[in-house]
This record gives sequence, C-alpha cells and structure tokens, in this order.
Amino acid sequence: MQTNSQRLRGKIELVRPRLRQAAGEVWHHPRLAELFPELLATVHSVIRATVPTLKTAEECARARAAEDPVCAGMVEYLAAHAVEEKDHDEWTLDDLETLGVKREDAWARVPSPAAAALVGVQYYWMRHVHPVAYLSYQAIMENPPSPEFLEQAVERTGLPREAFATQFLHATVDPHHVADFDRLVDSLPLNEWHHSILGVNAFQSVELLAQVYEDLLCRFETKIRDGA
Amino acid sequence: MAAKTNVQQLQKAGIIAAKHNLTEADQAKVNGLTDNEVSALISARQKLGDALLKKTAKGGKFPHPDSFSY
Repeated sequence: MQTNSQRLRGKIELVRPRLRQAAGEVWHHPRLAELFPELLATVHSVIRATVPTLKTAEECARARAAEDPVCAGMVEYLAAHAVEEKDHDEWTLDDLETLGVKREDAWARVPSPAAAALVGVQYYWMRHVHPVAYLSYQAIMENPPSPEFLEQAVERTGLPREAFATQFLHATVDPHHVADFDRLVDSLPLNEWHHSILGVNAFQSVELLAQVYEDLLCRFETKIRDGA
Repeated sequence: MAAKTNVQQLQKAGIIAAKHNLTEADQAKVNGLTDNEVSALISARQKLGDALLKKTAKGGKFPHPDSFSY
C-alpha cells in the first residue's frame, strides 16, 4: 500500500524527465557562466511568490478547517513553512549582487509568461478548488540540488562561489523540508478526489516549470544571436 | 468492447509513442491515474513516452537541479 506522498511523487516522476530535460539544457549550457545570472533572475521571478502563496494556502485552508479535515491538517504546517521560507528570494538577490546585478535591475525585469502562469495557477487551485492542490507545486519545487553538482558548476563557470550561496543552502536545508513535507502529506486523510487534484496540478505545474526553463534559454540564445 | 487502458488512451493521443515499451512499473503508474489526470497529461501535450525514456538524458555523475528549490 502506497503512502500519500509516495503516490504523489510517483505521479511527478512520470513527468519529471520532461522537466529534467528542460533544466538540463540550462545547467549544461556551454555558456552557463553568462546564463547563470539570467537563471537566478528567473528563479527570483518565481520564488518571490513563495511566501505569499504559502500564506494564501494557509488562509484558504484555515477558512475551511472547521468542516474539512484535510484543510485542518494543513494549516499549522503551512504557517510554519512560510516562516522557514522567509527571505529566500532576498538571498537570491544577494547572489545576483555578487554577479554585479543590482536588486532594482532584477525587479525591473519582466518575468516570462510561463513564470506568471506557474504561480498564477496555484492561486486558482487553492482559492477556487481546494488548497491541497498547492502541495503538488511544493513537491515539485522543493527538490534539493546536489552539492556535488553545484561544486562542479562553480568550477565549470569560474563564477564566485557566493553566487551559488542560496543553491548550496537549499542543498543542505531542503532534505529536512522534504521529510517534513512527506510527514504532513502522509498524515492527511486524502480521498481519490484530493489525489486527482494533486495529480492534475502536478502535471500542469511540471509542464509550466519546463516552459519557464525553455523561455529562459530562448531569450538568452536570442540575445546572443542578436549580439545584445 | 473492453474499455481502453490509460496507456492505450495516451498512446492514441500521441502522448506515449506506440513504439515505446514502458516498464511494467511505469505502466502500472499510468494505468492508476484518474480520468482527470489523463486529461491533464493530454492537455499539457507532454510526450510521456519520450520523457520516460530520457530518464538518463543529460548530466554526469551528479544530477543537475531541475526545480527552483524554493
């Protein structure tokens, strides 16, 4: 018998190769040193919404908690996790500053429509369907990087290690977050309807995140081609 | 006529290429999906067969990050 988290992760694994392919084109790009600031700015365009979306998920869950045991089971976790994720977007801006990109310049960039869609659909699912949907987004996004890979990327790019500081931090901290997350998901009294929502949002979110990587690469390569 | 399995439906929609042989474990996962989940895969036009076969694509000894690790 599969646990809730195993069932969710099994579905994500079906489509994760699509995401790995798109992300791999970025991380293994021959001009990663030039692309990396663009990647961090893209990361920032998405994770600036982490704490706000967690808070919205908490509000939606709290509003239904009296009648809905799944919502009741999520409230405390979401509130605590919003605190854990506080300022991670600011740390990404710190990393960008080590590469000479000013905070205001990062904020001034127009995010890709795929990034807006990726975050936007989370609000739809949790506000207008059920806040449990947010958990599939979290399961996709909180996938710790390998410190060894990051070390190789530092060496390969010749960029200062400080530019990867937030990435290294996630490599250390996220495994604990994943364990906490799985404990939460396994504790929830999910039925087939909840599982279906989790799966549908997982498939959509993986596709949108893959598009975020593809947009990033497309913009970068266009810029290179045009000599900008 | 017997109802189509999810794998058959996804093959018909071109999401899993007919030439691809999914592992038994992947077939079981796919056939365990709900109708709504199958529709979501079709809607997203994800080429599941290609994706599953590319599990080892790109990357060396250590896997590259594939999410934003918020």
